[in-house]
Amino acid sequence: MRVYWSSESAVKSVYDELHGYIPLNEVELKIVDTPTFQRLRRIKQLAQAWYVYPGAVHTRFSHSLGVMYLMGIIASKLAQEGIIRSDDVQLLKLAALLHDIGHTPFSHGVEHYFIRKFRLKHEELSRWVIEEDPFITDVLRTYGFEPREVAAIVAGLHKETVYNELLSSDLDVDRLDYLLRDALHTGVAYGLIDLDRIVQTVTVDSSGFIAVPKKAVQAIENFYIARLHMYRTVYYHKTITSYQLLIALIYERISESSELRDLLEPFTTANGIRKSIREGLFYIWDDFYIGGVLSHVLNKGIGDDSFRELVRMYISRKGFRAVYEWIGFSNVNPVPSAVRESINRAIEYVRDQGIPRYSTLPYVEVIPIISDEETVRVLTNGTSVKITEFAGSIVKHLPESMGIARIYVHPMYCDAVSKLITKFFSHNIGV
Amino acid sequence: MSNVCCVLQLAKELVSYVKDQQIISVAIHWLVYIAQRMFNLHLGYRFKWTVRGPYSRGLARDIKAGNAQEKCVCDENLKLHYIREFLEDLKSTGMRFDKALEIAASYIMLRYDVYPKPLDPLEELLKKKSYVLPKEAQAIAKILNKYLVSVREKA
Repeated sequence: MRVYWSSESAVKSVYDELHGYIPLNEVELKIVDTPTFQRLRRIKQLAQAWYVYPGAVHTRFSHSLGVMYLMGIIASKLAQEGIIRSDDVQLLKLAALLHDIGHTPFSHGVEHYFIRKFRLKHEELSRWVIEEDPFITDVLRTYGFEPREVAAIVAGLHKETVYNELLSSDLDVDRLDYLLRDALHTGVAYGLIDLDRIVQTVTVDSSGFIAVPKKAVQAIENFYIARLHMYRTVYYHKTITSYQLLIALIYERISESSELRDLLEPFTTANGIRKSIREGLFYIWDDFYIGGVLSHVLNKGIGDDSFRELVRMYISRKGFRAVYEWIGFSNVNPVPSAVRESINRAIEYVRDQGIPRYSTLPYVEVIPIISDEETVRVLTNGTSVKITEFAGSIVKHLPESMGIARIYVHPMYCDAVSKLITKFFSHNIGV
Repeated sequence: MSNVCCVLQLAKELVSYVKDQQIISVAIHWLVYIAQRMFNLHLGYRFKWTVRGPYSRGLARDIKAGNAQEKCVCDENLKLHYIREFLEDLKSTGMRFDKALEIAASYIMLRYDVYPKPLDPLEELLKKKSYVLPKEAQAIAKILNKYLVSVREKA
């Protein structure tokens, strides 16, 4: 039988740098104490961001606790309002606690490899861990929770759409925590949001969409703008994405080489990872593990020169450098085809001038800022409207997407390519 | 880029039935979900269950990115013949087309993907969508039963 815990049932408190003391009840503590959850202490939240912001060494462990804490507050409020069932508050808190449990080491860098190769995202890995990892499933079942139901919330497939929205929508507990936490640790002043106002006012409209009253509109506007700034200054910072590309490249080289693959087995394929989850070995796959492999490669001289050069570049922070950057905002074509084509032509031009093929990398990314279907609603006179349609809100003037296009270059060719790129674009005015 | 091109090709199919671009941008999620789930197309999008039905962030992102592609080639066999037949069946209900598509996608998701599984997906759908009439949901369910054999085998 499932038990509902109130905050009074805390058996331990953890001091969190963002939210202060976070109480843990028995089931939460048991989950936190599993080797699989402890693994999150060894996965940096922002992976390579500490190459730019030295303080950004916080982990998915503290973020997961923070997301659970916020979910507890909001879900309890909604339960008091009769929007969700009181005994589902604990279920939602557990889903929040476990939402990142399957994140790959080095976060999005290594994940990029698995998405490209196996269409495997960390959300799917989290689902596997929650449903199949022996440590996690054992605790959940012992306390009366069905792993599949917890996983359904994490995957956004719970029968109650509100549960899915609380964990993943435009205004979800995940984003509320990471924006503030990442701003705190990077030191940038852009991620600051009025968390108290949002948490105290957030509710659900009659259709089931996440909504806020009119008095919270400014807090939500600020939330959207903060997100936009964080995308530019942190999440898609040119140097940070450069090291994401580099670690993805290194991971790919290891995974696809018969000589090197052993270093990472079984974490080179979707099936291998799933097997490790079922065997209770997933917890060893962390930042330390990959870092150890990279050091081992250099120490023992494993692989060919070009491979070891990539590893050296990563460890020594001598990675690919952006010699060209284009940023645009738009509702339709965030990166117009003319820009994409120019990037490709510029790279071809550089290669034609004798620069080796492997030394230049194109990078194009489209980042949604406002998702029409997931947009927060504003409650007005018994009904609700999307904040993008709410009179007087500046959100409707924000672009729906941001586009980034860059050319990265091996540091050895940086000066030469910079000159060539400048020359190329001076003859291609209008791009 | 191939996946995006397949999606854009599917979106073109919708244009014959829905004129409003804003509605198409929502309806494409329902059509791609149905194409993946009912016609076994391997486009790799993960859908979540939202108030209006299946929705994929990855798809939304790809549509934004893919709009810029001029030379777009879809490598998948889209089974357009079957999809067109299905869309025509939906049209034959006489319902507003995007509403019929929303009901169809939501019904499939409730029946096969959401958890805990509703005892009666049709009843659950009517509970969630107060603007849907029982006879409308029944008409769509009847059409879907014709196509759902492969889904049943997969589930």
